Amino acid sequence: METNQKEELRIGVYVCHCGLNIAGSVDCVAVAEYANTLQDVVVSVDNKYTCSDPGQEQIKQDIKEHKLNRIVVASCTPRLHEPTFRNTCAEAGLNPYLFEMANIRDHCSWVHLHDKKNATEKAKDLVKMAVARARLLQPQIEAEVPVTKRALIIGGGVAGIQSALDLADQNYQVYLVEKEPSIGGKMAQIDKTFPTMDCSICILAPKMSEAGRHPNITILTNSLVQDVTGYVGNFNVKVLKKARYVNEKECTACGDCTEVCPVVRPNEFDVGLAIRKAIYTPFAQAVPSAYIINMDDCLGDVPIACNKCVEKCEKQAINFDMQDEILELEVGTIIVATGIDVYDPTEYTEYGYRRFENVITSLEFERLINAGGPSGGHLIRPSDKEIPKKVAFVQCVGSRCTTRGNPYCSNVCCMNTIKDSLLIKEHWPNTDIEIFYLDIRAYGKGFEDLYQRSRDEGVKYFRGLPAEIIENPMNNNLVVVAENTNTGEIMEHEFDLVVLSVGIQPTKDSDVIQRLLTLSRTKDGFFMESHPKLKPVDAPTQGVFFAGCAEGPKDIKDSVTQASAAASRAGILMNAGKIRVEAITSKIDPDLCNSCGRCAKVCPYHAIQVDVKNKVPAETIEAACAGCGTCGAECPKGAITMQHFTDEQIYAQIDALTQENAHEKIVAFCCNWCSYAGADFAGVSRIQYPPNVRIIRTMCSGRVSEDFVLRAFKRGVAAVLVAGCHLNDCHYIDANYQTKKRVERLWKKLDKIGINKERLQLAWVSAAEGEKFAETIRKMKGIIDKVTQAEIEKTVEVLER
Amino acid sequence: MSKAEFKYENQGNGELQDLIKQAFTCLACGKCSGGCPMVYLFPEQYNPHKVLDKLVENPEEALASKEIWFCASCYKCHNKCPQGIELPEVFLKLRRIALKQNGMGNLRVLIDDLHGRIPFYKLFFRVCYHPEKIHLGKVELDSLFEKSASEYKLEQIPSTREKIAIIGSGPAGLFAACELRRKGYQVTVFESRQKAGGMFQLTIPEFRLESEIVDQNIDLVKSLGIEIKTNVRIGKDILFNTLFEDGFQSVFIASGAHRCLHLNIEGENLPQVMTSLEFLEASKSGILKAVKNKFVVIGGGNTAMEIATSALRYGAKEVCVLYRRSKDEIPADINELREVEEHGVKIHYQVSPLRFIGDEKLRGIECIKMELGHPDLSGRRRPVPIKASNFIINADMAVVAIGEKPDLGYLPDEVKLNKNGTISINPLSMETSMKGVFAGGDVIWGSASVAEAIMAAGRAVDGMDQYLIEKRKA
Repeated sequence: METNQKEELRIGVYVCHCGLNIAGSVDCVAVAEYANTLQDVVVSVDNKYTCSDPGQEQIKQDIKEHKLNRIVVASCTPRLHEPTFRNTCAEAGLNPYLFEMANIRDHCSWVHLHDKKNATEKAKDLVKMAVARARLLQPQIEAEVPVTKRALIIGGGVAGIQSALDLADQNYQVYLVEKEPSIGGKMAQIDKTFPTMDCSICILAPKMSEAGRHPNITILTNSLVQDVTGYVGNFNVKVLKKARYVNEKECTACGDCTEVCPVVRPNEFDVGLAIRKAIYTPFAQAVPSAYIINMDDCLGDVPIACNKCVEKCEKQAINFDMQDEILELEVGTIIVATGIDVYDPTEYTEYGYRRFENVITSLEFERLINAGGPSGGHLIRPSDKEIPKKVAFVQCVGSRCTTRGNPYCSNVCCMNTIKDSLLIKEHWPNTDIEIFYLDIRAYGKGFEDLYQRSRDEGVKYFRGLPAEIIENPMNNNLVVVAENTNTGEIMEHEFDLVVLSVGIQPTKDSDVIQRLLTLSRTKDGFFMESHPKLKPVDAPTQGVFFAGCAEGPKDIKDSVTQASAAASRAGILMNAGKIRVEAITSKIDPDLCNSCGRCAKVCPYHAIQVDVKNKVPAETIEAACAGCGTCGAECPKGAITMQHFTDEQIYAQIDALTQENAHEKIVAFCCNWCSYAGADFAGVSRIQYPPNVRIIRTMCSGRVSEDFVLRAFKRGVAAVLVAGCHLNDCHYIDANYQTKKRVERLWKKLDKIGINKERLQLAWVSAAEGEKFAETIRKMKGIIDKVTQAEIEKTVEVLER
Repeated sequence: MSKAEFKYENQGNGELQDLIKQAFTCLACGKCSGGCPMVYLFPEQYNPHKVLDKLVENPEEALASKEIWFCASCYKCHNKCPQGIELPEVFLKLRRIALKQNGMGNLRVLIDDLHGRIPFYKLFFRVCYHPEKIHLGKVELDSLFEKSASEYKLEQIPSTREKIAIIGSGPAGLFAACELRRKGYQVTVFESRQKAGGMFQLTIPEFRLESEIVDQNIDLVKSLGIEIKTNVRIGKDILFNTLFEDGFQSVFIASGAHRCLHLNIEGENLPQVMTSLEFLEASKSGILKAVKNKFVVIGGGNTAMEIATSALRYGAKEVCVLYRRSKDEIPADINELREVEEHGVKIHYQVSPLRFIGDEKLRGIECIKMELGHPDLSGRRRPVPIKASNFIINADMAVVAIGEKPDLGYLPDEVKLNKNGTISINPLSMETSMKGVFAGGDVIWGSASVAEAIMAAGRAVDGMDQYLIEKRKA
């Protein structure tokens, strides 16, 4: 390819200080001076902030003045600023694909904070690799694809409803999918909201019915997203709409059916504190306002068995023959609003939840104090239905605990308890209330006021978590044993009712959504955003956005804010109506192709056509190709070129980094979506690891061919790491299974030719696993320390043969 | 990085460094101190999380303090700590370092403090403090106790108050007796066995506690003016209700948990299949013939672990433990587990015995593998047998250690029991459902540590005192 290029190469290198972020541990001046010595480099400068306007202006000016035709910026991760600098180049008339970045911050200065010498050496290497690759870059033209002006919203809680309304009001078609029989989510279960003490369902119900009425919103309740294919702007979604057995349009919610139904079950909406029938509506304000039959509970439609509801329904809305349906939807954007589950505190055995009747959770409390709840708003204790005179709240149950529940702060429980204490005081002012807390986190607008009000009302706050709760079997009262850590005194106080203020956690089935949309989750289990500060509602998968607690624990106000933000982000995409896709697809040379069909077999998108029998060479369907590069790695004939990630470019990077001291180095091939991002995350978190590693970015680990690995060994490196997304989390469906197969094949091969196969490592590192990436490198440092010079020489010799 | 952390990193004192790091994570939530028996006994002097605080602030001072010596390793705090700090282990390690650096000075101070609070402090120390873990041999121990300066002072308090009966002379009974005596009550302890001391006497292996020390300490208690009537079984020699007729104004039930639970499976009556208490008593009294080659313990509690280590000492070649749930649910304390594993005991998780095989002699145990279902009321996941996963393991001797229940047939109906057969009590006063009758120790818990038993007894004494003060007023 390079040979066709007659044009003289003129490369500009810009080494960014990023304030002290890079310059603090890398000698940027020395790096820039070094870059100047590299072949074809015409300009090499260092500047304080390359991404600033003056920094960008300088690049533009230099392109014109020095006729630069390749640009290398050594600064942060391309995941952050590649689009910025590509724009800069384009503005100066240079094709944006002639730009290359060296990540000397996230992968270097931040992870070698205390080792300036080696960090500087590594930065030089990274720049050298970038220049080597830049020399081989080719201009590319990006294709444009249309964006379907319809959105899918997964989850019908307050966040999902808000996103749906915002998008629908902008005239986009919205599908709102909810797994429960009604939309409303957790907010519908709560009595009042903090800090204003508004009635929760009173402010939610109008939104719910607005969503129900809106001509642009299709509500699919009792439904699950089953499959998602396609890409930004063009997603194909399969939704399983489970049979309701009641015609939504016919049902008037009169309730006659429920009266005759003989089956009694605990009501999920009232967290088991009340009952429902087999045919039921979860709560009065449910949307859609239609009953539903739970078939697991129902006795059946055979007249002998039951059939009572069918006989009773005047509108004949009940239909036992209703079938589950699979709906196929085409949407341009997806908003994930899957919300939270409430923590089950049974494993806190010292608190006796489920053993002691009068120990309840905060959600159970909400239902008990709610006028629409099982006790009609009378706070009664379960054992004897008496109104409690002494109530304790225990904070941080299942939150901020490394051994049980979750290690994070659930954000809402402090304020929820404060609000609950005032609710009790409002109805029963003489109730003694004591709150056992670790820290009260009243950080939001109006929160501190509410806290003060609660204290003014005489609610006692004790800093100290109870060590145990013991029931007095004689009267079912509870003795709470806790230290008041402010005084050091051990308190043993007796209460009528104890409320465990339980934390919140990601919904049980969020792993399904994660897999369907190839998302990442942080170690807390919540979805990871594209950038925690600047793209807080964007998912790393383009066209997917987050709203509400799916992304992290938050209160109603924050959920609604984020929901509107997500709707706005999705709206921007759909409003444009089209989107450019990166020019990174595969190209097959029909002259070199021998029609073996291996590429077509491994392509996760079935984007390659080939006729093996009739020897018709393979061809890529560009619109379907996502650019993972797995075909390129498998082709035995070298007939496949991955645009912008060519074999030659990757070899050039390997060759550059192995020019000096290869025997001390680890080459890491990292996939863009997970492992490269995981290494970035190690940087952002300042997790330190040995400076021996040099990372080469590929879009997918499936791109890494055997030859890349062998080339690295042949050039004398000590070890090679291939890192990708966790199996089943691959951003290219299942391309990383090919990675696994290939590495296993390589291990066998290395074994056979007498190379210690430990020197080739395979790791699955997600974007949230900075520590795992660092640990992998530390472990590999241990391995390379044992690799002798003689061993490396022998490897080179064997491979050259 | 704090100064302290930095300093120790440079000194290369890795272990202390590690302990300080753990101390840094403490949130001071107070879950360790609430319910801690030693905080109960020494409220003015001891608070576990404050020791951690001190360790962060000034490690030297912490090492030279006596606070690091209080913890009695009951492991009540361990599972509750939100940061997963294993306090007893932290204290144990600190003690080792302190002994090297500062000698036994502070340990002596602790012994004095214990002596002032518990007359049978030697027993308490030997059982709860694991002197072998801080490398104290017999010589050191003797010198330690000899030099103990303080004394359990009664200051000539006359026994002029009401008569109180105590049933059982284990740790709870003995401690209640002493505390009541100190308050001026006339105390009589009834013991059904030949020798007083309860669990001290019967089940703690001889290598951890010699019988003569138990006897000495019992004599010490007696010398305080406490009457201990051995060989008197309440319900047989004296009926429970006649105690009140005999002038006792209040009763403290501390008869322990001596009825072992059975598996109720085939072959359990083979002579080589013993219950936990049978085994411990037999080994204690020396009637146990050499333990066989292949020894199997069934159960996952501290007792099971203790039996496993004892079996090795008594000559077993191979010891394994069968537990029906997984390692996450096992009730034995983490230190006990670690210890048996260090000794080479193999623990088979999620395995349950189906029958003992053998005609006259035990040959093996047929077992079945278990999987874990949904959590039950205890919060632990319920084990469910996996179909057709039966297998046989060889065994020459087996001990069933799946828990003990109190034997409470002698109590009148007014004393209500819980579903699990323990006595139902008011957790603040320790009073039972029968007026004037109190209970503590294993009769209310099934099985607990010596330190916890003492705490329960202490609470009960306060409850009884209160009860009798009210009664006098009436």
